[in-house]
Amino acid sequence: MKTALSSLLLILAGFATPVNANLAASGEDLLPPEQAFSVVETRQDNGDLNLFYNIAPDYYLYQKRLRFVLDDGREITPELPSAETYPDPFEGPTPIYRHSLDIDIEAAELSGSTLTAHFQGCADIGVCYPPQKSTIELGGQPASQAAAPTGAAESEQDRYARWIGERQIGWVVASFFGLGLLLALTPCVFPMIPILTTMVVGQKRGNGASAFVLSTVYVLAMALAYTVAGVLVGLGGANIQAALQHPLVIGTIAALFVVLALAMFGAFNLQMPAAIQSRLNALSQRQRGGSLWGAAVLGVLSALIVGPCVTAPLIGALIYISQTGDPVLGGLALFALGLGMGAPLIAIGTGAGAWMPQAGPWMNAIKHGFGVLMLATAIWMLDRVVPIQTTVLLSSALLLGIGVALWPSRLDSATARARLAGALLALLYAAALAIGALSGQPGFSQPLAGLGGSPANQPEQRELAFKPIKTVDDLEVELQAAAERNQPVMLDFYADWCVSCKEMEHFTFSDPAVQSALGDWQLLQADVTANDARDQALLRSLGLFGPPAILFYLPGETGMAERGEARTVGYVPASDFALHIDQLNAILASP
Amino acid sequence: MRTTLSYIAVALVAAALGFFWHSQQRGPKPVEPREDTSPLAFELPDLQGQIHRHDDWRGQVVMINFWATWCPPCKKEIPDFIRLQDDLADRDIQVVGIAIDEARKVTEFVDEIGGINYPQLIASGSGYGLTERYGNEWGTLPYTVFLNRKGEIVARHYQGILTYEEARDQLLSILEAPEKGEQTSDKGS
Repeated sequence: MKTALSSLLLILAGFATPVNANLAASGEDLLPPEQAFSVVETRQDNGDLNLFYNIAPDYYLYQKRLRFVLDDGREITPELPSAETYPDPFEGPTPIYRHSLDIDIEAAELSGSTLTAHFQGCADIGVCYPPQKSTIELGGQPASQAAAPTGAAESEQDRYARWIGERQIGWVVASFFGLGLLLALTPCVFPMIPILTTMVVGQKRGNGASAFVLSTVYVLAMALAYTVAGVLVGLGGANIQAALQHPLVIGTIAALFVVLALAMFGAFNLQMPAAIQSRLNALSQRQRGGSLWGAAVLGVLSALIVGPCVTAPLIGALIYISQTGDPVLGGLALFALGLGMGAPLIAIGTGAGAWMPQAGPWMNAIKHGFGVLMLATAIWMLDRVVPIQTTVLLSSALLLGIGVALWPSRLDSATARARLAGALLALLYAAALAIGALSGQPGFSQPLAGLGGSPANQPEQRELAFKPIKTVDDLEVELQAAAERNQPVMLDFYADWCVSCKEMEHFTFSDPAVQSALGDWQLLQADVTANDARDQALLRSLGLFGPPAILFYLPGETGMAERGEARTVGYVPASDFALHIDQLNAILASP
Repeated sequence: MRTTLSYIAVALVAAALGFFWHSQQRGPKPVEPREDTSPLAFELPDLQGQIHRHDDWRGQVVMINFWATWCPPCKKEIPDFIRLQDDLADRDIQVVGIAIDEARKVTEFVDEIGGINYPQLIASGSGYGLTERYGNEWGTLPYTVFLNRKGEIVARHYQGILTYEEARDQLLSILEAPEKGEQTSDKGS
């Protein structure tokens, strides 16, 4: 009884805290509308649409505020489930829905390309949300399931995922395979391969089929070990995406890459600590050559016993993957890396050793090549947070280093002459970049363009005039104004740390074809570098997590409407972008 | 060659750090300044058509209540706010209502409850942007902010209905709090 009373008193004391305490709660108790009322749309095979509203506990939706409108303006009135009655002090008994709301709309009623589901609800604590809407794409995808807080947002992220997949994953995975191959050709790995083969295959060398199987098992095991690392790092990166964008973090990682490069140039040795290495070595000695299990164990152990040549590039690769925050890409890329590293071993294991080159000083060149690659990666990462002039100057310095390193000491052989040619090319390009950057027209494709001053070669001269906006309100105002002028609107999201945004500015927005295609357009730009509350609100209202993103709005009978399917996410080269705009212009022109 | 490359690498690191430090000094791109740069600025008509600006009540402690007629909890609060404005009429306090709604519906409601003793401003659609600028993340209503005499937001209430007592306590505490650099006023003690 006493404890109950004191608990009661405590609770009452809690209620007596001043109103300022609401600031401390800072919205934790109140859910964002997408979480309070989330809509899941499912399209059946026969074209029927099912809308499932997931209503958070202590929240409710008004039955009377549900509206379903097609893009031609026609309203659908589907059968609504029975609602519970809420005694509203002003409106009287009001029908509301709690927990969940299930609505089926027959295919026959659906026409046009989009359905907008309007709804409005409140929370029991005594607040109401502004009217919400969920836009559902209807365009001919009967069996697709798009589970999403708002239908439009999900299809964009799906598109983004597909775009990333189509464009980048293939390249990255292929490059990682190539890198793995090169890693196998470094001085600490290549000479070991015949020895490893003997351990894996045992003395049965020459028996082609089983030797092949054993070597493959070994390589697969090694590749899988790397895959695990790639997935873990990708997952970790996904969770700290926001932190990874911070200039301080980027700078540190770039410096790390430079240190790794120094390791490749032989300034110091970077490898797994000797204690661990000897342990793993002991383990591998115990494996029986010629057994499948032994081959697999050896494979995993090999992945762990990373020697000096492999450690730095491996760390670099993992850092790159963590930056992408994509565990799928991480897994695939590291798997390819493992396969690349194991390919020569498979070749030698199956007796194709005769095709392999002889070990020699060229292996050192590959090691140094990795060093250069890591310096280049460091510059590429810094590009996000430094002005393009700096990037060009740094690249010029790197090329200078390459040129000097390539310079042959004696001009006595074809190799030496080839090196001289390479060195001269590198030095010339380095000079051009430096002059271009210092003359105020930094650029990679036409570094000396700024000197000529001819009108045909002025990549940075005419900039597109973007009108800056900051808040959701600003966007509404601009869209309304443009609607009155019957003018299409392009909204570009920009941030200083967004690589493709800078690339777009540098390569695409400066292109004359793009500029002329956008001649009649109202251009808006939202700079979300600060990522403050208003920026986040604007991004969230459009279903975006952050830049890059470019949205297109066309004037129509019912005002401005966004062409969701026309959204671009990420860098688009000038010619493709101009084509994209032309297509939208054509839609505008048609009746 | 090894040492040369090492020196080059070290130089690159130094350059990189230098430039990145320099880039930190830049700051975010400036947004084009509007006529009134305060994010709290507004100019809205009341029910009689008279325009009010956000700084019309500078020098008083102001309570701005964002609401709408389609929001039942909002309507529940308003009679309490009318009573509050009456009870504190002799203090430097002003209650202001901003309705994110149509003037017609607001007028109907005001008639229903027998009139209103504080300015009721009509904001229509752009009102959502306004509440956001005043710190309301998702546009939930009712949303009430308290401004001190200098027009700065010192308290917000958005977790449900604001009772008469809570609002009164909040207003009195702002009235009695000494402003920076000012002497405690002889009112309100």
